[in-house]
Amino acid sequence: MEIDIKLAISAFVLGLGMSGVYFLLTVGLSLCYGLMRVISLDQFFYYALGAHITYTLINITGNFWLGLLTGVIAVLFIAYSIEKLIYRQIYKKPIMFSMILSFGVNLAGVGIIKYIWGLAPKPVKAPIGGTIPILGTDVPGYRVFVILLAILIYLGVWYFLNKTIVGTAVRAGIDDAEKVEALGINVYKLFTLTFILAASLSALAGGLHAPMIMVVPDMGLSITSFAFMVVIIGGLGSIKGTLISSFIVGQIVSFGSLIWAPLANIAPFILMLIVLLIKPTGLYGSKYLRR
Amino acid sequence: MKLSKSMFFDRRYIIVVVFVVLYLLRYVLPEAFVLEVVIQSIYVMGCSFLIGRLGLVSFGQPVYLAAGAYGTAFYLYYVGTNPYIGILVGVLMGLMVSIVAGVFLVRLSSSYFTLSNLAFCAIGFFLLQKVLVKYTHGDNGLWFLSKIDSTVIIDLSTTKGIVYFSFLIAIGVWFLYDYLMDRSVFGAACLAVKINEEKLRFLGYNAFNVKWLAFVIANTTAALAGSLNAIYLGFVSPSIADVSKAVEAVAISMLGGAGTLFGPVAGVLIFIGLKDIISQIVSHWELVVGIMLVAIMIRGEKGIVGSLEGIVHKSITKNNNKPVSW
Amino acid sequence: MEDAFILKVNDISASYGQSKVLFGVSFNLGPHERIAIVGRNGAGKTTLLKCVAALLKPTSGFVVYEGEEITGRKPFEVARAGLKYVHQDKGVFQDLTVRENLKLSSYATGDYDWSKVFKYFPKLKILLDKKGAGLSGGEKQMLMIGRAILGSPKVLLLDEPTEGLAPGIVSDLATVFCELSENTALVIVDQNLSFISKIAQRVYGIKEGKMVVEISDTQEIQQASYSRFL
Repeated sequence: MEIDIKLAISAFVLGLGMSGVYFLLTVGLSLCYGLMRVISLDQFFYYALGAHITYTLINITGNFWLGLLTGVIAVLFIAYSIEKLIYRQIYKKPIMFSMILSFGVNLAGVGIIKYIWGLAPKPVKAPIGGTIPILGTDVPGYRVFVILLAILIYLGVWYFLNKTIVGTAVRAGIDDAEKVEALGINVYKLFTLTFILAASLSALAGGLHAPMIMVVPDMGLSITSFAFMVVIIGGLGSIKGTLISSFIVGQIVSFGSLIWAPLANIAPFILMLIVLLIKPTGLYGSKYLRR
Repeated sequence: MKLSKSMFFDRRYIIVVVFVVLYLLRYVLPEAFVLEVVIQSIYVMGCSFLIGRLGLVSFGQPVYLAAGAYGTAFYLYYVGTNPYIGILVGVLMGLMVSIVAGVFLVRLSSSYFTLSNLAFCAIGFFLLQKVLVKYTHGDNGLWFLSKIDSTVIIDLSTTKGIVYFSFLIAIGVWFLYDYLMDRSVFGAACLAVKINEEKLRFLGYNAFNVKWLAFVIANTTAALAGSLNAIYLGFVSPSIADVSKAVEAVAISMLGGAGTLFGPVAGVLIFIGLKDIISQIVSHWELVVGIMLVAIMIRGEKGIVGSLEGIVHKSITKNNNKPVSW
Repeated sequence: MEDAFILKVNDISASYGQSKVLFGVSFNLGPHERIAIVGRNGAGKTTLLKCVAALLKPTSGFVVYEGEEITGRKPFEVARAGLKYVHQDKGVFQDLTVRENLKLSSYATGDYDWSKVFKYFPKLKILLDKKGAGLSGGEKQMLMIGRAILGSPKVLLLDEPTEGLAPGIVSDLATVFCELSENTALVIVDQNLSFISKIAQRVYGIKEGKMVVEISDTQEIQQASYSRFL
């Protein structure tokens, strides 16, 4: 089996693009788990919804960026209501409540998307055409853009968590939300903020991913397993772990599919099993972070 | 954990009565519905046991269901014609899959266990749909209805025979779980895992082995349900392991009351009943199931049977404030 | 009568799931008073304090703070109003520096004047950039209390403040608590009876979820004779 250097570079960039999408989709999941101790499976609904709204706005206005922005903002408001109406009621219950509940939200949401947009796959044209030569290999410009944007978002999240007082409160809450509350801080506001941040990042992931794949209502379900493998490999609740494991999984998917197409799905799963055998809480997960 | 002997004795009668009543329902309700309820109850039983008695919540149940269904399907499609052997092969397949998966998954703590099972389910679906296309025929599925031989005593090539057989199997399964949950050391060890794994270790039990055994038993039960379903439909397709159905078993368990003997039956009756009724009004099943899941989680704390048992339990043990679980 | 007590706890009962932990517990606290609640492990002391701070919901009974009933209010509102609970496990935020720990409390209370914190605990000044996880037990306790006194609370509920601390630090804490009570009323739950004898003006004894004794006699407190009730 020989992989020439050009193929390797383009696979590397392809993998990085996927890593970017995985990261945007899973960083919110990880934050929600860390702070609220909930597993928010409805992120996949926001992801699909972001993509669909982007698609529709492109059809109406012809502008991808406007579509992306509208998708993110629409999801922001939807997530805000869902958090207030539904999540509020189960924060104090065991974690499996949140899993089933959010899965329900996810299913219902996908049902609504199917109702509105139908089942047919919808193509979205990349807003940035052309290729960029990297080490003598032409790579699609849009992928490079997605990679850069994901890095930017990571830095933004890092800055928010480490340099702002609200972010500091979120980090403190990841340690122990009750103690934050005992200081006199309204943790429920932090919960809402974190949840809508997570959902908008998922919507952004969906919108950005749209030009790389077909937009279908079930697109969330097909990325579910990857997202969870990313989260589990990285360790629940760890932003750094999520970043690193997004990178690894993206590369494995990309290079795996070069060797044998099904490896794209199977290889990350095998990696997950190996990681869990060595460290049952993922690479950066803390064993104390559970309820 | 000490309960009087007569109570258990009663319970086995109750099991028989419940299933006989359910069986008789087929004269009132559509036969397909009654059969679905029984098979789904068997499917949910293992899941409910894992949640209620061990605190293990698995989002990967469809993959074990599929293991049984495909075991049976492979045998009947490629090898033989005897449905009994087909069911046996399906159960063995489920046994193997759960033993291997258990080695990896059972060691994990709560959330990791749940999500790894979900990932396993997704991979199982992918394998059946895309990778093993040569054997599974992908989304077209395997059709083997005409290959099922008629058999003596209970003829599994007829729907009537399958209904009858499924009820017998169900009673057997319930006897087994009745024993496992409340009359064996194993059942007590399971509860100990749920409450305090550390202490179980001090008592000299290996928590991993307890969980592994429970996991294997529960998921083999799911496989058995898959086999029965495959025989009934004479057809399997990868959609049986669809990720979007990953949570149903868990939700039904909780709807009925996890870890109770009759919770699965009650949960399935209500869940499938509601789903069938609402689906006639709203055609999108995802929407219906999704909203039902949300409602169950927000409203239901202990499940129907769980809260009923609470009431019964209170009236029985008025003068005794020691908690008893049954 | 109304002004005599800043905090009135009335007939509080509480339970965790099925098991009842508190059975109709009541106590009062004067504005500058230092009271102690003593009892064995599992007697329900922490549960009681958490119920008072609204972190747990009692099954019955009520809490009156500054003449207003606060049962059922949100915990952060209660804390902002000046009734603060200090957790027992030296729970500073592990991942945050001392500075960030204090900043967070300032953010919650709007009180950015850290001089009073450094007045009581000058050591914290040197430790400002150290992470919570790297502090010693005594330093953590200093930070917990320092963090809590921002915003000038009127009542502090201190849960096992001396647990696991060296004797020298315990006696320092006793001094600090006595000075603190010029502005703040203190409810101290502790097992260290010699410490309690030094600082408490009144002592309540709690046993198996019930208040069994209240002692205000100075001599009796100093001799720790109440321990026979526990």
